[in-house]
Amino acid sequence: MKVKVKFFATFRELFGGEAKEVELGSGSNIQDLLNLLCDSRQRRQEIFDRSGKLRPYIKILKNGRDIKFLEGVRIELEGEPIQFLGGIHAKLADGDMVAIFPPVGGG
Amino acid sequence: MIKGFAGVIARVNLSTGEIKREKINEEWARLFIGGRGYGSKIIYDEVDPKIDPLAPENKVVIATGPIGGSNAPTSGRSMVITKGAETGTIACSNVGGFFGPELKRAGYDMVIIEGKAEKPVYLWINDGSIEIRDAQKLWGKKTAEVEQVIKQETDPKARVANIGPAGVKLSRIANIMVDACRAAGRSGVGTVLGSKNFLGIAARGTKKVELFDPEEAKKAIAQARKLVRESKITSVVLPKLGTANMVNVINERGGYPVRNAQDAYDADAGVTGGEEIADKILIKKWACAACPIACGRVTEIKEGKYKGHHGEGPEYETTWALGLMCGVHDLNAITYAHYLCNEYGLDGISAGVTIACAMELYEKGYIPERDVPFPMRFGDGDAVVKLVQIMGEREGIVGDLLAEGSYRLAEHYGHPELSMSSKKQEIPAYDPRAFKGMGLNYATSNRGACHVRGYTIGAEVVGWPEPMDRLQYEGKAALTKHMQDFTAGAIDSAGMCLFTWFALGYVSDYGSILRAITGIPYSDEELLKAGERINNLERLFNLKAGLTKKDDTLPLRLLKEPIPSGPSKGEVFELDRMLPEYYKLRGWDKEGVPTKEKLEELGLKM
Repeated sequence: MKVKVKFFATFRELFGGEAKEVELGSGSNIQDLLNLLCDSRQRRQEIFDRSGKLRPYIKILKNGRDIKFLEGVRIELEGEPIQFLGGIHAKLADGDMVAIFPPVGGG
Repeated sequence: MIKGFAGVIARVNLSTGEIKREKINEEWARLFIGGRGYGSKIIYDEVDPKIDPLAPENKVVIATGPIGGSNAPTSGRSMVITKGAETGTIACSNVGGFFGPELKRAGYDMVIIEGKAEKPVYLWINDGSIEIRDAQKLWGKKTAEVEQVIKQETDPKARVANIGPAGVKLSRIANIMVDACRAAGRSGVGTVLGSKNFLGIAARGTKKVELFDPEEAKKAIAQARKLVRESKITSVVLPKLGTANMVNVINERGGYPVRNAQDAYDADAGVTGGEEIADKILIKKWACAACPIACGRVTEIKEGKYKGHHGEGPEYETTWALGLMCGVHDLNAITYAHYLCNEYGLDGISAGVTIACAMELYEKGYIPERDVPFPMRFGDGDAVVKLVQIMGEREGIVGDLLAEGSYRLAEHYGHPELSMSSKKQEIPAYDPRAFKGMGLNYATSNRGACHVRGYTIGAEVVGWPEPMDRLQYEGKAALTKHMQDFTAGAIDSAGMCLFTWFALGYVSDYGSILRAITGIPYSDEELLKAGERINNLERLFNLKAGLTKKDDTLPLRLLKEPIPSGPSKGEVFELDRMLPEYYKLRGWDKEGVPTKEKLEELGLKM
């Protein structure tokens, strides 16, 4: 599947452009996409902290929605379905638009 | 005696020429801090809420806060408080630049302007002395020329706050320009000065303001400066890209009103954003007094028909209002229109949104051809430029109506619903359908639609200090109330810039500076309570002016018309899901009137 990724503010310099089209295997999520995009030490350092977690101030939108508030992993516990918020585990689908922002504010 | 204040308020009666000096009321400083709070208390006590805002009985307070003039980051702010010409509500408009600290060094925390001068005048405040000076030859001149000539007539080092042609011609959306490039923009505060034949104030001072505990103040200020340096928003993005860094941020969420809010997304909005401004027109950044952020943009148009013009801006709000709100992608035309707003002394937000309204009225055939000076179509940047010019000059039928703001324009042509305003003040650049908290804030802001009275975008977009889903309704009433009280108490009345909040974030960060500077032992709770008191005082003024629950609303379009495209497609704004809870949290009855108990708790009287 293909997703379009857009970069903004100081991330345009970091990722060398305004947008990219990325080919991913089916079932991929935001983590997979970021792993693919962060192909240099500098990019990895800007996006992930030392323990490999997404830096909390980085904003990622999937089709205009903050991934923090999108559906993520669904599990069953003693027969009851539990839905976790997506974050980096939010699933991607063909044609999705992902926007990546450094800390921004003002206006 | 409390410290941090110059300790004196100047009261200038333009009708009689009398100038009085009054001491700062210490009890009021405790309860209302300074700036917006203290100024609102003066207006509430002294101005009949029912008067015509352009009557001589209206007053204008230009106020600094106790932090103003110190070395605290962004402490160069001042606030203009009056009964607003556009809204008829109590109004306060915040401005940066260098005027506020200079006024304080000249020996005054605030100036109260009352009455009406027989002929145009300005005020020259020079290290304690105050002189009313003739301004007839400057009356109606552009703002930068006024500033320059006043400096020549007084002191090249003076700092000047003045109106331009729009204020002189009583446009209801006239602003007050400081240093010819920063604006006390909203609610028609410049119009009220114009109605008094009052051009502005020049201030120059060399006095020092005494701090309560200089060592402690130094520590608290150093800590605040450290936080500003450490925040990537205040140390990287705002200086690098200016406030317009938000264009893509908001557009990508589908909350960027387009063509008079007929849509809320534009695939090419980025060409009017901070990245493009930095790339195409930025000459250098600009900072207000004591500001380490420097979000201001000094720009020059380098190509096309406006090539060679230079000035300050555009900002996030004006690149939107004069841009995509009017369907315009031409950054050069937007920038030139922004310069013109500064030159005429027009509020850039209201000017752009009023033009967008005119364009929709025109395209729908609601403005008769005989009134129309030229085609006013969405997407035409040159038309926006020309419309700002005829608005500033009040030229022709449409120019004269544009100067009245969108509500009066749309009402004149029988379609007030096409004015994107609340309490007659035009909305800023966040579509309430895509940001539910911001919508509630627009509807309940005491000065009409406003983003900076309760900046819920912090939580809804930036994720600061805690993230909240922008589309959820739950919790937004509490968020809105909190941000409104926080802003009123700890920021607007202290005399700092809202942008520090991206770095400081918590009431205690402001409290530590305020305590060290004033010696008043404000707790975090007391500062929030002061903010609540200020919001309730403003509310009482508005209720007495005749506003009711019906005015706490938004244009029908935002309530009923789903966003047609983009990431927030299908969204409307359901005010009823939050307003009753908001009233309850505020301690107001179902009609939005503060209860007796709430007023007693805050020490206020109806």
